[in-house]
Amino acid sequence: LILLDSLLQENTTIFHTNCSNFYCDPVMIPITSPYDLNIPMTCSPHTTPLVMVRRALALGYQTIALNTEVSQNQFLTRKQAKDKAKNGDFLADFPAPPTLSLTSEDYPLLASRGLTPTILTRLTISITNNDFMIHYNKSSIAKQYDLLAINVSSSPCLSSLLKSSFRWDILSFTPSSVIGGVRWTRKLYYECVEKNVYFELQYSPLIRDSLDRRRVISHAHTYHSVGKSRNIIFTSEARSPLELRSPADVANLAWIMGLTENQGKEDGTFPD
Amino acid sequence: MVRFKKRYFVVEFEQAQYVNQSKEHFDLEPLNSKDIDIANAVKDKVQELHGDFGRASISVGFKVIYANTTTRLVIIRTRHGPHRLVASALPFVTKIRAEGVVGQLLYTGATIKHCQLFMVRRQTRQLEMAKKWLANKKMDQEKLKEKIMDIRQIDPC
Repeated sequence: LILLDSLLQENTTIFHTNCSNFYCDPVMIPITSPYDLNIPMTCSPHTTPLVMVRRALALGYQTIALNTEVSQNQFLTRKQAKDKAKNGDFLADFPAPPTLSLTSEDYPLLASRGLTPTILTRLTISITNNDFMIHYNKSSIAKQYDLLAINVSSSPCLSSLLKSSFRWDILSFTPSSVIGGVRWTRKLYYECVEKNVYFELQYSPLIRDSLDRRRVISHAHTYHSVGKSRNIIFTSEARSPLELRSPADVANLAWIMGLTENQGKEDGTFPD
Repeated sequence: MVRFKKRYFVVEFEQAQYVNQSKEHFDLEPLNSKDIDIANAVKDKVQELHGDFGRASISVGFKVIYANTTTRLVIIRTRHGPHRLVASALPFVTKIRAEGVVGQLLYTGATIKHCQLFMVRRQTRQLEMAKKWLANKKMDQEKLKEKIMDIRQIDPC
């Protein structure tokens, strides 16, 4: 897990520790903004992750995270594994982090400035209760990801997660779970902030669908009223290259989501 | 004397079909629409996002012109204040007259002069890229330069 905190605040290098045990293997990773920390690996069938990454780099992003999504109910507990009558796509272990090899032709803008892009890997787990930690702690593959995001759907779930000493980087949500989802209070918000958890607001649901748009905006406004929009990052979650927007546009979008202009610029785009 | 402050947005529209492709390209095809079509598309989006209030508040002093049709460069002028409504609606404009586009905000300026400087610099860079890209095909260098460097002016008032 990278400490996302240091990734966003310091514009220099940060340490990347590979596991939460006592033995840590620090590796230096250069950080550069602007960054887009959610490009899903499961994109639409018309396109591939490489095309998306190329488009994002052409738009001006320098740090990108490729997102692999898993859900807790894809993992079987020992009891469930015994009833072999279950159908569905179950995973034995977390999928391996994706690797993407880029040549300097893929990023002409950056190459002309003599820079290389930073491609990170991110794992998003949608959870319903704390049992996912059993699978997570057992797996060594899961710890190879650079960033960890948790997708919560209810308040008791989130509070039990906060009470445990589990550390993760990003808290995200799906637009459909906004109405019956987490009841945000200032206390809950700041507990997350103290744990250095960043709240993710995705902007491609806004472009895709009008109903999702309303839900995401209302959720963003909740974050603003409850937590003054602290510790927020904007990401794309773009399923096709048409849904990616340049950093300047995303900074303007931040205004609809309840942030001031300065906050919008900092939270994921230019350090202008 | 109270001055009417304005904001000028320099936006480039890319055609959706080229964005979806993975290969390199340099597109010199103009969009199949006029100034009014882009203005309507932006106004409709503002109406969708910010309602009647949004649409009404940007309508005074709102002007859209094609600065350069070949590279699909557009200048949008709004009053300072309502400009945020337009700026927040620009990423959502996906269709101009039934043609899929992706907009990219390049520059926000308070004076035409600075927008002009930015555009001239950008168009020279685009011209170089065009020359490199179209070196295979026999393109008339003079005509290419004319087409790309022709930047139309927007009225100050």
